[in-house]
Parts: sequence; C-alpha cells; structure tokens
Amino acid sequence: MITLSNLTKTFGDSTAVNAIDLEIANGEFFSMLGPSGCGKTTTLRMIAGFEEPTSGRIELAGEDVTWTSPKKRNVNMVFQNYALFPHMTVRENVEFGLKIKKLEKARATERIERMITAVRLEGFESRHPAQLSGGQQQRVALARALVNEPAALLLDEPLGALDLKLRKEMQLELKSIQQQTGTTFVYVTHDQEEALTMSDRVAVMNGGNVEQVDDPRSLYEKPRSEFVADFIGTSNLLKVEVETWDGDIARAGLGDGLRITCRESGDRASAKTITVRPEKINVHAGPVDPGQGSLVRGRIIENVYLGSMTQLIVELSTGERLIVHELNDDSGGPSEAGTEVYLSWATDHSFVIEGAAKAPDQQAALPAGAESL
Amino acid sequence: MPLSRRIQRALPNALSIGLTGLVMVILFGPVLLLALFSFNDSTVISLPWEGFTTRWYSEALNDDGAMTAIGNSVMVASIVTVASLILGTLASWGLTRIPFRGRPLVAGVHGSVLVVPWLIIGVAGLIFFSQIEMALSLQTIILMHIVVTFPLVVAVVSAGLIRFDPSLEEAAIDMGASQLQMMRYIVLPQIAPSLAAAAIFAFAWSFNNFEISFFTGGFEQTFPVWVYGVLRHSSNLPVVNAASTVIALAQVLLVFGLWYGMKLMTRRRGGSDHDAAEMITGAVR
Repeated sequence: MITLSNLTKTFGDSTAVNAIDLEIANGEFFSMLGPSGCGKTTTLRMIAGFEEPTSGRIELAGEDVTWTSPKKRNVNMVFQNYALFPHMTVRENVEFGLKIKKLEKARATERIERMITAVRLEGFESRHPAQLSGGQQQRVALARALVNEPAALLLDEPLGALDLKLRKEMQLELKSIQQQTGTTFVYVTHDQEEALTMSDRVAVMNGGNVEQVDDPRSLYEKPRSEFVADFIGTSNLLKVEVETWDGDIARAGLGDGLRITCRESGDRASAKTITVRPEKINVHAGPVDPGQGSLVRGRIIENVYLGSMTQLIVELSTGERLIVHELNDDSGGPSEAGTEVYLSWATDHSFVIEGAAKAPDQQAALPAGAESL
Repeated sequence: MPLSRRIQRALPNALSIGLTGLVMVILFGPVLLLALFSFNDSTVISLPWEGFTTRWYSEALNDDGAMTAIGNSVMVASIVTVASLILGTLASWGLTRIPFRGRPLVAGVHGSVLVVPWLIIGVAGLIFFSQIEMALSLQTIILMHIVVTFPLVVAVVSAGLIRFDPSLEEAAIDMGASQLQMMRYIVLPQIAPSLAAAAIFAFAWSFNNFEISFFTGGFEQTFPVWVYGVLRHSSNLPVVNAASTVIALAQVLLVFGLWYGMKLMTRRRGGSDHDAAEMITGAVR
C-alpha cells in the first residue's frame, strides 16, 4: 500500500503539489489524471524518490520512505521515453536490475525468461533498443521494471509516444499484465480515456490539488467539481441558484416556469453549478411530465451528424447552451435546427457542484463519442 | 532534352566536384608534395626528380635527435591525454550534472582558454615557471599542455553528456544501481565515443604543439621543437621530411582506426553510419 499524507512540493515560488493525501491499495490500477502542470508527474517522481518533498510523508507498505534513496525503494518506474539503455540488448536491459541485486543466476534466468514471455518479446532478446518499434521498446521498459518484482510500478505517461492504434492495444495489454502479475500500478496520464479504460480508481488533479478520487464510473456519472465534470468527457454546466433543498435533492428554476432537480454532490454552501451529461438528456417536441426529474425549454440552433449519434446544441431561454447527444436509432425526438423543444432528464443524472473558478477551456474538445464515427 | 537544359542540369554537379577538388588540393597538396619529395634523391625540395630513394628514411631512423624527440613527444602526449581525460571528464560531470552557483561563469572560463593563442599561453607559462623558479623540462611542457587540452576535453565530453538522456541515469538508480555502478555500466559506455574523440584531439594537440613546448621546454625537445631546431640547416630538410611523413601517416591511421571502431560499435547497437558521424561531429561541436 502507498500512502501519501499532506504531501507538498514547491519549486521556488510555485507550488507543484499542494498538500495532497492519497491511499493506493495493493494490486490496484491507480491513475493520476490531469492537464499538464497539474502536479501528477511530480507526485509520481516523489513516490519513486527522484524528487524530495517540501513537506509531508510517503509510506510504502507502512514504512516511511520519505527520505529513502530511490534505489532502496521497492518501486520501479517506467519512463515516458522508456529510458532503455541503448548499448545493451533487450535481454541485458531486462537483466540489469537483477545483476545489480546479484540475484542467483538460475533464479535470475528463470525470472527474465518469464518476463520476456509475459511481454511477448521472445526472439528479440539479442536486439538493441534502436532495432525495435515503439511498442516493443515500451514492452522492454515494462519487462525491465517488472522483473524486479516491485511492490508498485510507477508509469509516467508510458503510451504518450505511440500512435493511436498502438496505444489502444497497449492499454489492453498493460491492463492484462497488471492483472496477471497483481502488481500495484500507479499510472500518470493526461488522457482521460486512457485513465477511464484501465484504472480501478482515478485521482483527477488540477493545479497541484486532488479534485476527486473515484472509480471511473463514479467520476463520469457523479463528478464532484466543475473541473472534473469538464475534464472528463463532455459535460453541460449550468449556473443556477438553488431555490429549495429537499433532502439531498436541490430544486432550481430558469425563470421560465420549468424546473431543474438534481442530487447534491460535494459542498452545499458553494453549490452554484449543475452538471448533466449530453447523452442523459431526452428531447421532446412538446411539454412532458418529467416525474421527479428536470424539464427545460429551448431551441435547437445546431445539429451535427456524428454517425452513431447526432449532437444538438440547444439554446435555453436564459441564453445558455446545452449539448445533447441523441442516438441515431429512429427513436429520438425532433432534431432540425430552429425547432422549439423540451429537454428532460432524471434527477439522478444531474448534480449540483461547486461553482469554482472556470476550468481550463475544454468546451472546444470533441464530444466523447466522436471517435465512433 | 535540349542541350541548354542538359548543361543547366550538369552545371551544379560539375561545379561542386570542381570546388571539392580545389579544397582537397589546398588541404592535402602541400603535405602530399612533402611526402613525395621525401623519396627524392636530392637535398633540395624541388624538381628535377633525381631518382627514388629510401635513404632519408634510414637516416631519420638512425638520427638519435629525431628518435629521442619523437619518444619525448609520444610520452608527453600520452601523459597529457590521460591526465586531461580524467580531469576533463570529472569537470564535465560537474558542469553538466551538478547545479552550483556560478556554473555558467565556470563553464565560460573553461571555454575561453580555447581561444587564447598558444603562443601567449607558452609565454605566460615561461614567465610563470621562472617566477616560481621551476626548472624547464618535459614536466613543465606536460603541465602547460594540460592547460590547453583540459578545456578541450571538457568541451567535447560535456557535449556528449548534454546529449545523453539523464532519465537513463534515473532508470539505473531506479533499478538499484549505486552512483558508481551507474557510471560504470550506463554513463561510461554511452559517452565512450566522446571520450575517444576527446582522447584523439588531446593527443594530437599535445603531440603537434610547437609554441608551448618551445617556450616551456628545457634541454629535452619534443618532435616539433626538434624539427624547428634542425631546419636551420637546409641539408637536414630531407630527413625532417621523411620523419614528418611517418608521423603524419601514423596519426592519420590512428584516427581512421578509431573512426572505424566507432562505426562498428554503433552498427552493432543497431545504429546507422549517420549515428556514428553524429557522435563524432556532435562531440566536436
């Protein structure tokens, strides 16, 4: 188990990591996700021992390693550019850690061979890194780290240099290697899709702070801050004044007689924004009874065909715009631009969250389903 | 194709061949000419050709002065090479890996020695040694040669270290290597080409140096100083010529051998010839 408590790192005047607390369980695939400069890599390097924290504490398996040298920590790192030793063959690279540890020859050979098989590099043992493809180099880096049987493997954007198709393959492969070996993986990435597909839990980081730690589904379905809602997938964010609270359900209106209801998520006092995912919104030609849910009115101003679905931009009476994703299965409502429509969604699908400072501009990003064209 | 177009196409090619030829003649012509005349059976270096002889070579071989001077030069250059390689590599490590106050200044001071004329360094050395009342000898020559080859090694090896990815060092430490093991197994093999290039240049600079050796040397002469001394009598010219040809040939063979070795090494690592060239030119940059 890895425990970070009150961990802080400052570089001069700027705070890279701001008093974060994290607990990573044994055998977990744990990701740190965030935009560049959010402190995720610095945190990883502190766990590895390459950066010394300004304050706070790092524990590995209950032992305080805050000031332990990296070579004495039972964790290994997979570097962003792989950092393979170019003058050594694949086998020599994988062998390096065991040679340093002076592991008995027979046992070392057995472990090396098992590892090379696990990452499917049989037959490549005597090649040099320059003679391998990017994906193969990646697998050598993985084998070189895992052969040491570390308590945790730290991966710093390991798929960043690969092309999209290879990246997808390697995602599955990483996950399966993680499950085979049962090693704790701490994975740093700025790619939300990568984090969501592979991880058991994800810590979303922003500006040196941990915004939310949750399993992928909860992160997507129940974002607890505006930043998380905006960073993970496509999200609609509406500024509202909560009028009444009914248990943990907030009620609000947009001044047109219709209403919005949503679940509480986070701090009630600073709740100023509601979030709802585009695919959770239903489009109707006329007013419907939303039950306990939300109902608002608007006009379709844009209609984009995305293959498996259609993306609508609906302008509400307040001038705010909602993105709506409608599956192209002939069951949807009106979709022509200019049509007056009613939008409904269930209470459980929207949350009132902290109206923090505006998150980095993610609105221009492609909708989550756009690749399914 | 019309003739004008054909000429237009061929012209750049012809020009570049011509220009390359001219540069080669200017660079190597004089040396080759000397080498040629070292086989001429005459004490004057000019035509007519008096007949082929290897007399000058056997005379050079039996000339105690020449042999002693060459021996001195080889010894001086070897000591200078080893000393400046060790000192220079340590300094390069400090300058590229250890952050300290005033690092740019220290690096600048190292570089600036490279642009000071050897003549001035030689004179400065002479004044320095006479001030501290140290007798001039091969030792003083060695000391002053290190003054110029040390910054050269620093420049070449630093370039190698800067091009070397520091995450390789972190990876080695991450695998449990000590600083020493990391140096031995990761850093040294990686900067070997830079070290080789630095060694070649340090040796050549020391071996070929005249100005510093002339001013800071005692009775024992290095080869260039010996050449200068005996050239005052023109009858010695063919012997000097023969000795110089042998020395030049040895140096060329040495450099070519090392170059070929490096090429083999990068090939074995899966690199291309381009990488080998890159390593050497990178090292020199």
